[in-house]
Amino acid sequence: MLSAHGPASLIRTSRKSPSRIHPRVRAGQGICIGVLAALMALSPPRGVGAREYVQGMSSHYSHCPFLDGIYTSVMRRIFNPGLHKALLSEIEVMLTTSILPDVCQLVVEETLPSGMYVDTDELRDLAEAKGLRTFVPVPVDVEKPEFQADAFRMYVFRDLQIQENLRLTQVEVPVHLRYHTPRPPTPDEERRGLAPSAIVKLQNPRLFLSCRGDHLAQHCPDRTVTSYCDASGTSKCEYLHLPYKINVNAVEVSVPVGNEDHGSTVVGITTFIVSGGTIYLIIALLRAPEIKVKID
Amino acid sequence: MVWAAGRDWWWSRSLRCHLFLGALFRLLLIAYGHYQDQWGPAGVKFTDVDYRVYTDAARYLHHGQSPYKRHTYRYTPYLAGLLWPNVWLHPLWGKALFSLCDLAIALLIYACLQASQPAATRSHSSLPPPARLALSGSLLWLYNPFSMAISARGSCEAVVLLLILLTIYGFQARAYFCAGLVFGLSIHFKLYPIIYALIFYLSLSQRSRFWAKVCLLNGAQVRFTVATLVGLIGSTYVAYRLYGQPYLSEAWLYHLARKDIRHNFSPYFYMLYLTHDVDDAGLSLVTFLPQIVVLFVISVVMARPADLWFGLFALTAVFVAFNKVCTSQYFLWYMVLLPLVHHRLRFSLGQWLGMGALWGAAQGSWLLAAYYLEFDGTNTFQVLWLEGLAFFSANVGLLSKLIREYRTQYVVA
Repeated sequence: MLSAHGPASLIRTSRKSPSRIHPRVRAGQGICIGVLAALMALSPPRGVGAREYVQGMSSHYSHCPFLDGIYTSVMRRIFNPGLHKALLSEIEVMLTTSILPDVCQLVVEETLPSGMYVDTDELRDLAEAKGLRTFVPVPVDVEKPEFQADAFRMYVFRDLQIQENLRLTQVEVPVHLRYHTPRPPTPDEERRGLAPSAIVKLQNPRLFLSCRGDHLAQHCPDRTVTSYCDASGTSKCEYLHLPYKINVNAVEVSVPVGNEDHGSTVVGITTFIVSGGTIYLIIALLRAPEIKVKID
Repeated sequence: MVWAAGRDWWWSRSLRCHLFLGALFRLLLIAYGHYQDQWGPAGVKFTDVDYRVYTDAARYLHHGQSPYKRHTYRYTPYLAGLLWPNVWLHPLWGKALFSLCDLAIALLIYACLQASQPAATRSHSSLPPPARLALSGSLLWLYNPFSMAISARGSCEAVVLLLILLTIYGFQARAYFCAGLVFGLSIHFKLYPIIYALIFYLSLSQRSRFWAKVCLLNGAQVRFTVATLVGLIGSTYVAYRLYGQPYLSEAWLYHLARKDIRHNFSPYFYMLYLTHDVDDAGLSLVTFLPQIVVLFVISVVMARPADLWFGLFALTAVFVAFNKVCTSQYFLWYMVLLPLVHHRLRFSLGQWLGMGALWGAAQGSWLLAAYYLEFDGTNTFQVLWLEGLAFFSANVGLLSKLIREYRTQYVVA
């Protein structure tokens, strides 16, 4: 089920090969690339060059004039070192020739890989504190390591803010990394004295748009998708699947893992120390009590 | 002079006065936690995440549904029942209840120590006056910042600790049937008190040989054993009848089969992580056997009524130190028993502080390595492993020091 919307549906491109960008995206491209470039210049994501990627388009879609008048760009960044991170997505919908009603909802569908999770209790706290509306359809086991966990989806519901011809929103979600399988260091890591690590790759999200008073899906039947109406997850609605440009192909973070080469040493020394502790305690318990003289 | 006046005031206050102060501190802490959760920075919660789980489970109960519909509710259904007022009375009810359990524990420590004094004073002439000793024991618990914080954050540890203290009090009062019922219930609540079963059973026999203690039953042993089984099986059966297989899966089987390889204080953590895919009986034996052997030796050596409390303390400390998973909350399991034996450990204030500093430093340096792994992304697995072994060694060293001191006989010249 997950693979149906996985990398196969993505078209990658870069600034150096504009001819590969889908023609529909060219409208308003100059302004938005400018915005994107300015944003990236202000805070370039770590390890990511100044590239753009087109997301959520596939050649089998028929022509949709309504989408020609909308240009969407996304800036993704991930903060904090360590196992607990904050994933920030800034989304900008620019209206060039199409018109959107004032009240629009954007659904961000994230597919979290098996190495990453969101804590649904934490999300509920954030819903109470900051009004962040999210829905995770499956129970999330926060204890499971990556090799026992499955990928799952998370839906974030955002109301778009109006700013002239732009519709904007930004969403910050706390994400956490799971324990990964230990492995021996690569020769390169060994040479550089680095401890082994694993890479967790978070694919870009799918964006769904719906607006009050306008059945957007009617405009582009080929790009109509069904997803959850709201954070309660009780009913489903029709949305328009938005293509967009983004600054990263995927968010990649590294997570430290145990060094498999240490296995036998760790087992040996741990067993030795624990056995020593066992014997030491047994001696303390079994040997004759000490007698001390106390002057009254 | 001010110090002396303060000290005199402290000791001259009655237990009731201290209970009032202890309750006040806990109430303030609960109020602070509520403030922090409501108006503090988002993402920094004072309340324990499990408290939300209990409350959600209580909400399911309130609507006539199974508490096990709440994902990660892995406790007895009676806990959700105890927290039912969280739904219809006030969400802080549970924290107040756990804090009340804390106060009841302090009261029981006082009662146990006071009742044990005539016998104790006969063998140790240098002991402080009975009332002061009982008071000092209960105050060690009452003003213990760990116990205050854990209950005020909404962790249910105090409930099971209260059941254990009630069992001990039942033993003291020679009400073995009642003690057994409560003991059975404590195992139902949280599996770990089962480690006390052997020492409780053996300490009820006056015989000296181990096999005689085990096989030649007396009335007290029969009453205690039957009551324990009734308490454990009865409470479990009722819960099973009410909630069926989900109860067994979540409250029992999950804990028995749980394999958490994330970093924790256990000396085995890194070893279990590196060998997570190795299904080797030898490895299971390595992690299981030392704990069982030491628990057994303590249960046999300390199986006398006079040594029961120290035996329980040592059993808990060993269980926690040798366990495959060990977190900060587990430390409370033996801290609650320390006040019952503190008067038998005649260390100077400097020695107590030194031992506390060693325990704290070993824990602190482990926490530092864990911080770097968790919040900085530095690969500190090896350091964490060594720190875990150091903390284990510190625990073993300190416990053996306490054992030696406990067993030392003082002759008054």
